[in-house]
This record gives sequence, structure tokens and C-alpha cells, in this order.
Amino acid sequence: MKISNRDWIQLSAYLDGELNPREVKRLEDRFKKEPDLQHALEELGLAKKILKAAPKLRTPRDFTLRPEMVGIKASPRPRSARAFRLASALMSFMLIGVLLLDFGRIFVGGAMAPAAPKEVMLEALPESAADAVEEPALMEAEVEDRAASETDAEPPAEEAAEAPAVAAEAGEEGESVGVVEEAEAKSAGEEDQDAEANQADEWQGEDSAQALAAPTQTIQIEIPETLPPQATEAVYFPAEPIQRNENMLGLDPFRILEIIFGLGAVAFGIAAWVIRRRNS
Amino acid sequence: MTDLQSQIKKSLAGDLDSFNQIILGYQSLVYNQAYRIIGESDAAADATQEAFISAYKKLHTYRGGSFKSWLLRIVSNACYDEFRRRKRQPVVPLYPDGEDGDDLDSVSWLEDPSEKPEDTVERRELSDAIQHCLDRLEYEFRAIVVLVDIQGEDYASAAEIIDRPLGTVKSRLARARRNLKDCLQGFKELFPRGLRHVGEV
Repeated sequence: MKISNRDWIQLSAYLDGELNPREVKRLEDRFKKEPDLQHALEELGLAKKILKAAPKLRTPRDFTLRPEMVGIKASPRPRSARAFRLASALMSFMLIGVLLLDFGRIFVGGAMAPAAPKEVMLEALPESAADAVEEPALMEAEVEDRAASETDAEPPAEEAAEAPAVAAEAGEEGESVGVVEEAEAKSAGEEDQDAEANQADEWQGEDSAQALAAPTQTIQIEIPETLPPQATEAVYFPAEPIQRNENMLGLDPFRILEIIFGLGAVAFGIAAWVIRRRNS
Repeated sequence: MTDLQSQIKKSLAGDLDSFNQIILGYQSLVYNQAYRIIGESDAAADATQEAFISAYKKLHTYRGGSFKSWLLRIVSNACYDEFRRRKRQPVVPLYPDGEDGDDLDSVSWLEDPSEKPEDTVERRELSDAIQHCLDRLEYEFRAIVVLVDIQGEDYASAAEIIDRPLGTVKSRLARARRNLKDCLQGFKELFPRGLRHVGEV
């Protein structure tokens, strides 16, 4: 007798106790009449028992989870490390603030001036002021040249005696001007001597009396005794000393704050890093 | 509050150690389920691990009831995903089977120091015979018969785990058992001694 699919489902459910009492009663009545059905039930029961007796497999490894498996950060940073990091950040911000204030104060107060070299200051001067410093010396050198050439060419008796005095005066003032101006004056003097030698050759055929009869013009040059007013009025060198807030140790309070905040930022940062390293 | 409920509560608060305690209590059950469905130890281990990761992430969806059934549902889904993946991309084992066709890597997990060597061999052969027969079933039939006959779940739980109607579970289980009984008849000598003559006319 062939067993239908419905019979197999009933048999399977009967094994598992999933039939209601009425279905159980009906099926058990059939077992008495149908030995094949009974045999099928025993085979199904055997399969069920074999499966139930299947050896339990031991796990090949541990399946416990690690934080990174479920997207959790390895280990939360300890509070002390976070506090140190925060302190380091605060120190850094305060250091930046103090630095900004310090630089702002320096620029507003002009405190950069004393630290600048003299050459820079001279270059910074306007041309009019520089010319005012150099022009008197140049003018004196020109005067000296002309006076020397005129006295060499035709030295009158009175002026011949005065010429060395003028030259000496010019020489003295030239020394006060500087080495450059003195050198220029020297070279100008040599050139004038050459020119005088050439001119003396030309004058050999001429009447020397006629030449001496012509009056010699004396150039009157007023040498300013003081520098032009705009040079003296320059404010590049403040007369008053710069006032800086300094304590008894001679340190600017801003410098002290900068040092404190800088060292604090570094120290707290290192402390946070060390704690993190220990906990990782 | 039971230990399990307490561990679940702690796990929900982010305590991974508590969830690992749960895993230690259920990993054998989950791995056996995965192995019997997939039939390959490495893939079963992967599916088990995925199931526990998924369980931790979805723990907030657990609404009470049988935690075992909830976990078996997750591992069944993981096995189904693995099953489909392997169907698309068949895996060739790096190490060939033994001369007798046995899986060589299945020995280690069957070793039991307290067991006689011949008993170990018998258990291993029986396990392989059962797996051989299970592997011949389609996935849906296999999952149901493993849940009911190996894990001991009732029909209602099985229906909930595989998300199928109760009638479907009944019919598929009956069909799976019919196929299995025919297959297992060929390994009668491996049955436990008390079962070797059952059903003989």
C-alpha cells in the first residue's frame, strides 16, 4: 500500500507530538490495520533518533568578540589623559593670545626701533635728510679745489699766504666729513694738478704779466653751521628712552607668561601622550 | 533577573565582556547549527562569527522570549547568506579530502580525551554520515530538520526562526525525514548499538 504525502506529514507530526488528540486516535487506529504505515513510522522514528544522537561538534575556536569587530574603539582614553590634552590645548591658546598681545604692543609702541641697526636707519632716512648731511662736505671740497687751482695757477701775494690757511681749513673740515670725502678731495686735487701742468705749458708763450693783471675772483661760500632743520626734526631716533614694563628680574611680564604657557602646553601634551601610551 | 537577562542588559549598555559571556554559553549551539546547515567547518566558523557580531549589533531588537530561538534565527540567516554566496562562488578546498572521502580537518573537533579511540572513530563516522545525508537536502529542508531534530526546537519555534508558516514547517520536515531515512539506511552499521535493528521487519 502506497503512503501518501499527507500520511508522511501525519506520521512526522505524530512523532513530534504535534497532532491533536483526534488525529492521534485516528492514526493509531490505522496502525493496527496498516502494517506498512507502522513500518514507515518506525523508519521515520529511527531517522529522528539518529539525528538526535548526532555528535555535538566542538567549536574550532573561540567566537568571543573584540572591540574592533563591532566598531568599538580599542579602549576609551582615560580621563586623566583627556584632562591633560585639554590643559595642553588651553595653554596653547593662551600662549597664542599672549604672543598676539605682545606683538601688538611692540608695534603700537614702536619698540622695534632700538633693536634696528644704524645702517638700516640711515637707509630709512629720506633723501633730503641724507643730502643735508652730505652736501656741506661736498661743497667744501669743491671750494678747496677751486681755491687750490687758482692759487697754483696765479697765486697773488696776499692770497698766497691765505691759501694754505684755506686749504688747511678745508682739510680740517674734510677730515670731519669722513674718509670718503677726503679721498674724493684728494683725487680732485690730483686732477687739478695735471690740468694745471697742461695749462702751464700753454701759458709759456703768453705774457705772464697780462695773465697776472687780470683780477682773480674770490668765491664766497657760506657753509651752513648746522644741519637743515628737517634733518634735525626727524623722529626716527626718539629722544626719550623707551619705557618697558620690567620686573625685578629684568624680564618682561609678557615674556614670563609666554614661557609659562609654552612650557605648560608642552608638558601637558607629553603627559597626555605618556598616559595614552601606557593604556594602549 | 536571571544571569542571561542581566548580561543582556549590560551588553545593551555597551559592555562587550558581558556579551562575550553570553557567546561562551551559546557558541557550541550556534556553531553546530551552522556546521550542519553549511556542511563545512571554516565556512561554519565564519557564519558563526558573523552571527555573533550581528547579534551584538541587533541586540536592541531582542524583545524577550527564547534567546536561543532568537540567536538561532540570526545564525540561520547568516548560514543562508553564506549558502547563497558559496552557491555563486563555489569554494575549492585548499586541502583535498582523505582517500576515503572524509574531511581531514574534521578530526580535531571530534577528539575527546576521555573517549576510547574506536568510539571516537565511530562518532566521527556517524557524524560524517549524517552530514553526508543532510548535504543532499535542499537548504530549506535542511534548516528545518536541523532545527527540529538536532537542536530540539518545536514546530512553532522553527516556524518563527525560519520565518515560515507552521504548515510549511510540518510538510518540509516530513519530506526531509523521508529523504534522510532512505539515505541513512546505507550507514546502518554506524548507528548506535541500540538503534541498529530498529525498524527491521
